[in-house]
Amino acid sequence: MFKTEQTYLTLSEYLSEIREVIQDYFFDYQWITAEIADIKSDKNGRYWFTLVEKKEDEIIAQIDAVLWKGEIVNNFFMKTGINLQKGLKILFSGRAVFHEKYGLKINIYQIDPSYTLGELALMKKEVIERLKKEGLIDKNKENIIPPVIQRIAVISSKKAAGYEDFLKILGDNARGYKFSILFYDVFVQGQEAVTTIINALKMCSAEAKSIDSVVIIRGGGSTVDLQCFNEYELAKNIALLPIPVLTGIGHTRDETVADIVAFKSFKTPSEVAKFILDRAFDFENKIEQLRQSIYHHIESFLKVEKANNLNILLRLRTSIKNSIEKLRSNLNNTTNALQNNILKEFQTQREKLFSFRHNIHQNARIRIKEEEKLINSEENKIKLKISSFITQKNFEIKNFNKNLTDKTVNLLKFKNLILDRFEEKLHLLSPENILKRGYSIAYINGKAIKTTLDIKIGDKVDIHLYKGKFSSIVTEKEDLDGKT
Amino acid sequence: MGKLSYSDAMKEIEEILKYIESQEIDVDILVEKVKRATELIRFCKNKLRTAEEELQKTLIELEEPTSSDEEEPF
Repeated sequence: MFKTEQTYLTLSEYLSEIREVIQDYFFDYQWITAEIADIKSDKNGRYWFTLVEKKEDEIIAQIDAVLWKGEIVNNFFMKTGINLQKGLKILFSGRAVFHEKYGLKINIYQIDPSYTLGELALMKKEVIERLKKEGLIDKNKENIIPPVIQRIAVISSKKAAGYEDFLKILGDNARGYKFSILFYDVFVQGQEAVTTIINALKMCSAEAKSIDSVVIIRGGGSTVDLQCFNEYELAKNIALLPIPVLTGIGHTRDETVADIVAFKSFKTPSEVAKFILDRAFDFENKIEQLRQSIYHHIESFLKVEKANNLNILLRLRTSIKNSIEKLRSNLNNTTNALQNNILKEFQTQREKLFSFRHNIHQNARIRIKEEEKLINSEENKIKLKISSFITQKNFEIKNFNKNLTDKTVNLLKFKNLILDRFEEKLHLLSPENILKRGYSIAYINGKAIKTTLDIKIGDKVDIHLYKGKFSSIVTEKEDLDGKT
Repeated sequence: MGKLSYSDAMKEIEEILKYIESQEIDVDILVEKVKRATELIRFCKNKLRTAEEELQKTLIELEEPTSSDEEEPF
């Protein structure tokens, strides 16, 4: 129940009492550690923080804080190279202030950069230890970097000045080397840096066969911070990429974890570009040296071969000349000997021939005489034989002649006798004589009728008699076999 | 020779040099080897100075990851 005599305070009165208590009690500044959960600046140059304390990722304490003096933030960056940002652990001196309208806050008076550096160094160390334990720290270095890095995937920001430098150095090379650049535009700082870079790395991994090297560059900008390059997840993705990664992150202090796990790290993008150019340059030089080496060897080889050939040629020529000389002299000797022999042989043969001719002459003469004699005697013999032969033959002919005459006369006489007989016989056998004796000849159609088969009854038959003829008609006939 | 890598080319040139350095050379083979080495060197030097076609190809592939290998008429 409400009692009228009961005293009361307005909210502002009550809260102002709290303020007084807090002001009195928390009069001194206190060094406190906390993690920045959020940070914003306003147009007046004030920084508004949300500070937390975590235990195993659970927030166990949280409060807003304000920093009035912007130069503290600048000082922090000067000392650490890092912007105050979410996730950083800081050691600051501050005290609690209470305002009736705005509530409880902490006023930050100072920030100790060395604490944050120590914390970051510790975190980095832990990340490195973890990568080592997981065998990732040298994983990317196991990739084989080609002698010429020509197809380059660049992970950077278009706005980064370092990217311009990189392209300029590669593009302006005096040797005229050409490079393929596959550009992945990412955030190189801030909260989205890690995820965008990891995404780019994954795309590179998918194109691994057509990429010689992945280059992660940034640099140039003044308000840079390298925190994202110390992140475990990013380092792991670099380590596991099947392509050698070159970094040119552009830092002046300690190298980042990304630099450590990369295949090779450089301080600036320009140095990466120079490295890539130098490799191409070195490769071409080496090829050129090999070329010269090959040509040098061939030259000396050919020189030796030529000298050998010349030597052989000269020897060959000399030996041929000698052989020819020898052959020629041999030939001369042989020819001379042959000539002599031939002349000698001629002489002997001629002599032999002379004697032969002589002999032949003599022999021939003797032979001729002998033959003459022989022929003469033979001739006489023949003459004798012929005359006796002729005499005999003459006698034989005479005899034969006489014989022939006698025989012919006899034969003729005999033949005459036979002829006379024939004449007589013939006379007796002539049809005239036969008809004279009373026989007649019957004719039909001029042909003599010899049998009754030649005629038929009614035929007209001519009958020839010794003297005269007549015709008659057949009225009757009788064949030999009795037929009529 | 289209897909030959720099390191393969270099290796082959080195092998050819080694062969030529060994004293037992056959002149006929030498001619072939030198021809090959010259080709490789020319190939490397040429490749160092031409990368744009390859880049173009890669870019096309990236733009049309699902399309086939056939070139689209422009």
